[in-house]
Amino acid sequence: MNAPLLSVRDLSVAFGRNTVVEGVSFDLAPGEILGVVGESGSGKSVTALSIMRLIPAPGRVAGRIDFAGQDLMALPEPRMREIRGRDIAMIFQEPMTSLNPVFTCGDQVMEALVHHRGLDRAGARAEALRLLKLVEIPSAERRLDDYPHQLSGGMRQRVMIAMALACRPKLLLADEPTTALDATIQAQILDLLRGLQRELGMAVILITHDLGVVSEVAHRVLVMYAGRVVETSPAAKIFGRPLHPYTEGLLASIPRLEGPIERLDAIPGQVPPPDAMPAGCRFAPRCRYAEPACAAAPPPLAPRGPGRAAACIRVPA
Amino acid sequence: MTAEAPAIAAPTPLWRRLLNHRSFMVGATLFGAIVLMALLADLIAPHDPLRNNFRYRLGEPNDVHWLGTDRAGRDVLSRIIHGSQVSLRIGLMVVLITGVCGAVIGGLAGYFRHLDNVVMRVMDAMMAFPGILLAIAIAAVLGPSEFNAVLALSITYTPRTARVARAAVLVVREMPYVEAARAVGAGHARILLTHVLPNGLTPLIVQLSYIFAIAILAEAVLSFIGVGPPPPLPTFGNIIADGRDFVQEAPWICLYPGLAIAVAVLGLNLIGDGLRDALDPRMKVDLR
Repeated sequence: MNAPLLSVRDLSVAFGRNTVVEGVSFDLAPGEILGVVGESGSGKSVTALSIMRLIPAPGRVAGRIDFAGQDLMALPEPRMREIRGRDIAMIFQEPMTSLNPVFTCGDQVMEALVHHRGLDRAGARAEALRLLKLVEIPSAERRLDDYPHQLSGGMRQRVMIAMALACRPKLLLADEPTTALDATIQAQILDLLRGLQRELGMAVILITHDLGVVSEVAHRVLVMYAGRVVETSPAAKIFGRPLHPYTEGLLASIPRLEGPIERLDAIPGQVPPPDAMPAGCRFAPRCRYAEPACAAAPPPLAPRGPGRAAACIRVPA
Repeated sequence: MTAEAPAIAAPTPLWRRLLNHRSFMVGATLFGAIVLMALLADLIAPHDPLRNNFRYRLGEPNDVHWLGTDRAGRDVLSRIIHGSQVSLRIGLMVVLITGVCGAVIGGLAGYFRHLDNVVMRVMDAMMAFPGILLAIAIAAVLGPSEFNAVLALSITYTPRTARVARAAVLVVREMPYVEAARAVGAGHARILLTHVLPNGLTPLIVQLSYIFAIAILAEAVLSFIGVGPPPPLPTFGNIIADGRDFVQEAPWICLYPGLAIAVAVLGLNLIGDGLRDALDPRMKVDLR
C-alpha cells in the first residue's frame, strides 16, 4: 500500500469527563472510499469533525492526524482554515438548513471559489455554473440565482456537494449526506458521489448508519461502536462474513425484500451513555455471545486475515 | 433527475405583506405625516418658530396662528413643525447608535461565548436602572445639549438592543450553514458579517422601531425637565415645557405638541408591530 492520504492514530475526543471517541486509528489511501458505520452516538460525526478540527469549545482532542504529510493537530488555525474547504471539504446531513437563506445558491458556491482560488466574480460565476452542471442540477443557469428555499432537499444537497467540490479537495467528508432525503433521491445522490469520486480521484469518508449505503459505495468499512472501532474490513467481505458480533447484528437488522416475512432481528438494548461505559468490551452487555471474559478488559483491535481487523476476543486470529 | 420536486413558488414579497397589513399601513401613514412635516419644515411653517411677538402673547388659535401662540408670542404650529425636525433627528440618531452598538456588543457576546457572561451582566446592571431615570442622570451630568441628549438616550437603550441582538445570534450561530461555512474555511469575521449579521437582523430591526418611539418620548421628558436640548430650540419637549405654566389659560401650547408626540409614537409602534408580523415567518396569523 502506498503512502496514506490521511492517517489517524489514537484519536480521542472528550467533552468534560465523557470520552465520546477513544483510540480510533485508521488510514485512508488517496482515492479510497471509506464507509464509517455505527448507531447514533457511536462517535462517527465527532471523528469527522476532529479531522476538520471543528470540535466545539469544551471538547478536547488527543491523538495524531496526518493529512498529506502534515500534522493537522499541530497546524496554526490560519493554516487550518486554508486547508478547510480547499484540501478537505465536508457535506452535512441537513440539506434544508446547511445553506444560508439570505444568499442565492450561486453566491454560496462562488464564495469558496473567490475565497480559496482567488477568482474574480465573472470567473467564479462561470466556474459555479460548471460545478452545478457537474452535480447534475437541471437548468443550472437559472438555479444560480435561486435562493435555497426555492429548491427541493435533493437539489440543495447537490448544491452543497457543488460547494464542497469547488476547490477539488483531496478528501471529502460526507456526514450522513443522504439520511434526510427520500429513498429514490438517496440513490441518485450516492450515484453522483461515486461518479464524482471516480472522476476527480478524491478520497471520501462516508459516514452513515445505513449499511446498505455503504455496500453500494464504499471500498472499505470501519464499524464504530460507542466511540471505538470494532471492525474494519473490505466492503466486499464484510457482508459475506462479518467478524464482530456488532457488525453481524447490524447486518441482521437490515429489512429484506425476499423470503418469508419475519420479525426484524434488531440488536437488543441501546448504546450505553458516555458516562456509564462498561469496563471491558463496550458491546458485551448487548452481545448474544458475551462471556465473563468479555467484561474483564477492552479487547484490542487485532488483525484477522488480510486487510481485516476486529476487536473481539471470540474471533479467531 | 425527474424524481425531484420542482421549485416551490416564491413567498409573498415583504413589501406586499406590509402593504396588506392594516395596522402597519395606519402606522406608516401617521409617522409618514410627521416625517413629511419635518422634511418640509422650512416650506410649510407659516411663521418663524423663533420670532417673539410680545403684543400677542398666549394668543388663542385663530386664522393667523392656527394653533395659537406661546408666552413669547411665537407661533405654536411653526414651533411644532420645526420641533418635529429636531425630535426626529434625535430619535434617528439614537436608533442608529443603539442599533450599531447593540449589534456589536450583543453580536460579540452571543458569538464569542466566553465574553457573554461579563458583557451581558454589565448590560443587565445598566438595565436595572429605570430607563428614563438613567437617561436623566446622564443628561444632567453631561449638561443640556442636543448631542448630550442623544448620548444619554443611546447609553440608556443600548442594553436593550444588545440583548435582542445576542438572542438572535445565539440562534443563528447554531445553524448548520454556519458550521458549513466553518467547514469551507471561513474565519470569524467572515462568518459574523456574511452569515450571522444578515440572518440575525430581523428582531433587531423590529426592536429599533420601538426604540425610535421610546427615544422621541424620552427626548420630550428630558426637554420638559430642562436637561434636553436647550431652549429656544424647538423640540416637542421644549414646547410643552414652555407651556406648562399656562396650562390653565393657554392649554393649546401643551396640547398640540403632546398630540404630535402621541401620533409619532403610535405610528412607530404600529410600524414595529407590522414589521414583526411581516418579518417573522412563524407568525402566520393574518392580523388584518
